[in-house]
Amino acid sequence: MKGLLEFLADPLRLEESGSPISPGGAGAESSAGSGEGEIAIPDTLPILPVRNTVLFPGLVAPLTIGRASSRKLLEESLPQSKIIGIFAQKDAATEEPGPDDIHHVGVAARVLKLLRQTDDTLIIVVQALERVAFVRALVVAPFMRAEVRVLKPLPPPSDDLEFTATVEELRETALKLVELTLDPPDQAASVIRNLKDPGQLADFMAGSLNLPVEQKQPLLEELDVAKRVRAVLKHVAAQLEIARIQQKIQKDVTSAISDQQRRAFLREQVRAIQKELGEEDGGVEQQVEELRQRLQQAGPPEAVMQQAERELRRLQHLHPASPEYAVVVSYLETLAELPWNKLTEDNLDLDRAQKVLDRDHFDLEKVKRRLIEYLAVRKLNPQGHGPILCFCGPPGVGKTSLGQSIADALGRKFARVSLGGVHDEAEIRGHRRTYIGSMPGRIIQEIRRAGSRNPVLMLDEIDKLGTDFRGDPASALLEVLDPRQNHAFVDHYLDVPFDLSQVMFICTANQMDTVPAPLRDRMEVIEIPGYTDREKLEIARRYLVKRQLKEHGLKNGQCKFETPALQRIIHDYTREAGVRELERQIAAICRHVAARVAGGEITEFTVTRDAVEKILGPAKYIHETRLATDRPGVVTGLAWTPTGGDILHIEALRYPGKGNILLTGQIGDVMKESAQAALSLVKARAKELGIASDAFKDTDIHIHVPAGAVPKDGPSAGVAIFTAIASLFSNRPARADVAMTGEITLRGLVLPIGGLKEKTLAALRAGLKTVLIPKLNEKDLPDIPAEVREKLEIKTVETVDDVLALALSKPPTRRRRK
Amino acid sequence: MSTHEQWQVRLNQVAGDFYQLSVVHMESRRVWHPAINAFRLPDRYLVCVELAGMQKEQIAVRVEPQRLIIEGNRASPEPRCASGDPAPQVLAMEIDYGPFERILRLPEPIRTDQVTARYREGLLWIELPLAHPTSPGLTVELTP
Repeated sequence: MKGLLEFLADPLRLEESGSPISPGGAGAESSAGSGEGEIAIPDTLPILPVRNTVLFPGLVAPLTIGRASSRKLLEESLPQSKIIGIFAQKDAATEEPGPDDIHHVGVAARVLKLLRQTDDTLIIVVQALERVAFVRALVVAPFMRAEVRVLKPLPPPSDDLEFTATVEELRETALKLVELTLDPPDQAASVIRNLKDPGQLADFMAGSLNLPVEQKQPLLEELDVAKRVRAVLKHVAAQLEIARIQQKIQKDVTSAISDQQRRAFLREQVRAIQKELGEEDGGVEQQVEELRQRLQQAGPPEAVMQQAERELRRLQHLHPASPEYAVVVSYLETLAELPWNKLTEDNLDLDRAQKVLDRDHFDLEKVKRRLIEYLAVRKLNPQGHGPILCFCGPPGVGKTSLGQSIADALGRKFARVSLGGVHDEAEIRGHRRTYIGSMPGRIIQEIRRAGSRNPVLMLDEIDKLGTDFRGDPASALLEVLDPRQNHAFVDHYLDVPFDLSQVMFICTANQMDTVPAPLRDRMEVIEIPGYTDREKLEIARRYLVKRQLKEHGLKNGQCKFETPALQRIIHDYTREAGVRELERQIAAICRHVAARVAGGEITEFTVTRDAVEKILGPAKYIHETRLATDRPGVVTGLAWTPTGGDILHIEALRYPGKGNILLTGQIGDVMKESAQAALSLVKARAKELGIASDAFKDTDIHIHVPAGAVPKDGPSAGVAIFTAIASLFSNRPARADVAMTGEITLRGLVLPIGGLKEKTLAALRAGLKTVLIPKLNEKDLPDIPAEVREKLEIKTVETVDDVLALALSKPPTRRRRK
Repeated sequence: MSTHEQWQVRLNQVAGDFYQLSVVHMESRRVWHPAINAFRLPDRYLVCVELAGMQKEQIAVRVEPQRLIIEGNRASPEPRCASGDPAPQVLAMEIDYGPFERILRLPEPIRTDQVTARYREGLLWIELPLAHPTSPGLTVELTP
């Protein structure tokens, strides 16, 4: 204890002497306080009963005093002695406990402080000193005073290893508990570490634990230190376990929250990155909202809106990256873009419509008349269904472009669906949405593109629809083209009805034969026949030349076409019902002129008849009249083809043989039979025709119909074959400028045929003079263009005899003269 | 009531409800801590301890080169009353009594043999000369 000073000197004296406090005072280590360390506990103590509290020796604790008797106890006993006895009540509910209502082991405690909270409540700070036993109550009122006996703890066995281990275990467990439950734990931990006495350690822990009185009281009453330490250890360990579980639960809760927060945070970051990259799509919510708005703007019927709402709800639960999401979005976009309510207003000005139609197309009077009629009806009954027209005619006559003109005339949108080669029903009606890459059918797609519910919708090449195992698109069209049904057309993709009744459908076809009957039945067929040469000339002058000049960058006046030149092109360089080839030939001339103009060779050019041959080369088509010879057995027939009419040369030849008949030239069964009938008829009339009765014996007949590569069929060549055979055997050549058509019977009657207009046009094109037609076809004559009637001599025949009379030349020989 | 005791009271009232463990102050020997003011002068420390109502004999001051210990025992002040009078009621008892102790750690060594103490008007003044005093006005020289 070096440098330790005991200073009890008089300060004044020290100052006077100026002498320092000198070292010394050995053995005075214990301070003045230690002298009073052993506080004597009197034999009788005022007894303070307390609720819910058990004090242990060594503890300093505040107690709240509310009871009047307790207050009196303190007020009256403290002046005499600061030591009181503190005993726990057996039952906290007892208001004024007597000697039997308190546990009989308690502590003697020194009152350190007495503080007044309010008038009625005191707080005392007490330091528990020793365990005391309640021996005998001396006074009960106004407060209890009793005789007590100090209880000395039974010291533990000094060298018991097990006991030492238990104490250490208690210390460790207590430290862990403090570590877990107190914040900061330092103060309590240091007390636990520094308490050397096992009994005090146990008392400290027992007092600190939050245990009910019933569990604490036995610990107080346990005088055997070893037992007490073990009992306290048990409690501390149990509390530690509870604390651990509590902490784990708290940690789990915390980590669950923080995991969610982490996800939210990461998502927020991803969004920020996407925004930074410019990939912000606004998220699902925004997209759904956008789609909903677009749908509402589109204003679909209630049923459709319900379906859309269902899909929108589904969309909200889908992840944007899932394929299903894209499917639903594109479906809803399709719904939103369809013109559910958008209608263009028809322009019902008939004069204007007529002007527009005339501007774009020459002639075609029948078609134009029909359209004007439609407009007139529309004017009177705006709610009427759109008609379904079918333009049937050879290629190049302007069926498709007519559709565009009609749309212009009506002031409607124009949409076109080419059905050529379509052989899948889904092309018309769409795929179900279950299929990947499914989309609506062409009809709905075109209407979506047109953006109005009443466009002119052209179904092009309806005769070239295919059919295979994937379904029959023609049958799918049945629904589309029925005005009574198509107000609720259901596309597989949409799966909701769409009203097509305001659509004006126009179909085009080259021939009606291949169009299924039910479909044909739904349409109003308007035949657009081929053009005559005069019409072609007009078309060329009015449209084609202008168009081609513009196309080739030739200014007006740089290239002039003379009328004879155009006539020559039409006549010698084209043979077609339409005007496509004609336009190509005009284009060829324009190219030639353009090259020379661009080369600076010339500045303007006039196309003359001779120039045509120079530029286009020799005539491509030679008039069949030139092919015709006066040789017997060659007759000119007429045929109908999808591209307009054509002429046929029927050649018959005989040579020695066994009486066989040979038919060549890609002839169909009907035509073969027709040829047989013709032969039989000739044989039967051999006498009238002046044919030797044995002429057919030992003779084979060969009938050939060029051109051999083109398939031919039908009965209408019967008259021509008959004439050819008759000519051959009677050795009278047929007139080269006479063409004929008609079916024959074995009685020799001539039956009517179809396609008269095309056939007569072909005859005119071929430069023939006379055409023989069945008498029964007379009714069709008004359909034949006036030009044809003027230029051709059309004669009607009733029997084959009439035909022979008109077609065969006079017998060249002396044989017979009628 | 000192802040420490206030804390004790509050903690015991409140904490018991929430923790398995309620901290209870534990001392085998209960001491209280008198309040001080302390100063550093150029050549010495000056410490003033608030210790009212004592006799100087009851106070012990011990010094070590870097530690100052003040100890003692103050009796609880009681009213004087003649024997036979009825005992007075205690209404409050806030003044610390009993053994006290105050240990100060000193940052600089002192000359233990020149420590002086003076008790006047309830305050104990202790003067502790520094072992290596810095003279007044002396400042730390800055190397250029």
